Amino acid sequence: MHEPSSPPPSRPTPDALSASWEEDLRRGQAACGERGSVEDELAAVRLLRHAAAAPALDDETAGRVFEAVLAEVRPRRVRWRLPLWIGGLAGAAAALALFVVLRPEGGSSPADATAARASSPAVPAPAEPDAAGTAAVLEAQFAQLVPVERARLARRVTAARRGLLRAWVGDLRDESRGRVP
Amino acid sequence: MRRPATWRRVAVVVLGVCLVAAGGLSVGAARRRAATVALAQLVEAAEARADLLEGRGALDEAARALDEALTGPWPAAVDPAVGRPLRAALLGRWARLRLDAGDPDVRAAVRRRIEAHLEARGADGGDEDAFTARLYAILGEIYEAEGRDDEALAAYQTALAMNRALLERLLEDDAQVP
Repeated sequence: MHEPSSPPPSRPTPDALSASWEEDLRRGQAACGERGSVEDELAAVRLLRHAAAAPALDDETAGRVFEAVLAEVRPRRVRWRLPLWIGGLAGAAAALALFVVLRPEGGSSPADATAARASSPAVPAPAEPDAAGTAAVLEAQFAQLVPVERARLARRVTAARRGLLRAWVGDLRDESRGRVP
Repeated sequence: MRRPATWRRVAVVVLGVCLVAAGGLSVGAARRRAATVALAQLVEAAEARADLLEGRGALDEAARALDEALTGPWPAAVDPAVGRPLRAALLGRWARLRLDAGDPDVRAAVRRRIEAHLEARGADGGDEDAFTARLYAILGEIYEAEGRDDEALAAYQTALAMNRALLERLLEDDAQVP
């Protein structure tokens, strides 16, 4: 016997990757008498659906996604171009230095700079590890230290990222200023 | 009367050298920042992939994902304070996965790889970090399993000393926070 207060069974909403979204969009497009691409609408629907409930990826899809991500983040050989003005300045400085050093009455003698590096490695206080439980103690210490270490690394990476963004924004600003007549 | 001209020349040379140095430092800093961010992304993606595979019980594949990140191209000119710990983090996780699989043949390969990493680190004079301390701990476990007790003890002592220094630093930082 069906209880009157219970809601009617609803069709489960397809997940973000389901092909039915595209079919529905095409159907709606046809109903409105329109034609053309539905890629933009499909992307928006998938994004919203994904935000509401991220679908569980099967092994093959997850593998494909990670391959794509790693292909993007894997380092490539980047040709660093030295700005022309630095090259010019380097040449000018080298020529001037040669002129000063090689001229006959040049009496300046290069001073020898000796940097003595006193390497005093911190001598760790002798510990008395008991081989039996040491591995477990170390693993527990590691668990305690890892969040701190990760936070420290994250701070350094964030600082590097901010520096890069600042440089890029500066470049863009210079570029846009240069384009304004 | 020739003195002012000489000083002017010297000033021009010094100025030129300073400008070149400043330009070089600026390019170097930008390069280092880009490499550091790229490396962090690479490690993050590799660890996320390993998390996913480990969660599914595919431990061999998780280890392979970490191995790919370790053996693949590694960005040059990375900030060493980030690059060294991140490499040690990946290597430690990879080693733990391989050792927990219980294959005795793998042990020697894991040991050699950790030893090579620590030797390279020693040559660079790296700082202490928790991930490197873990590598010493894992190395101690391997030596112990191989019956090399003196070496195991030395590795454990190094790991304990590193962790103690890190914990002391952590306590000092906490004490400084009002």
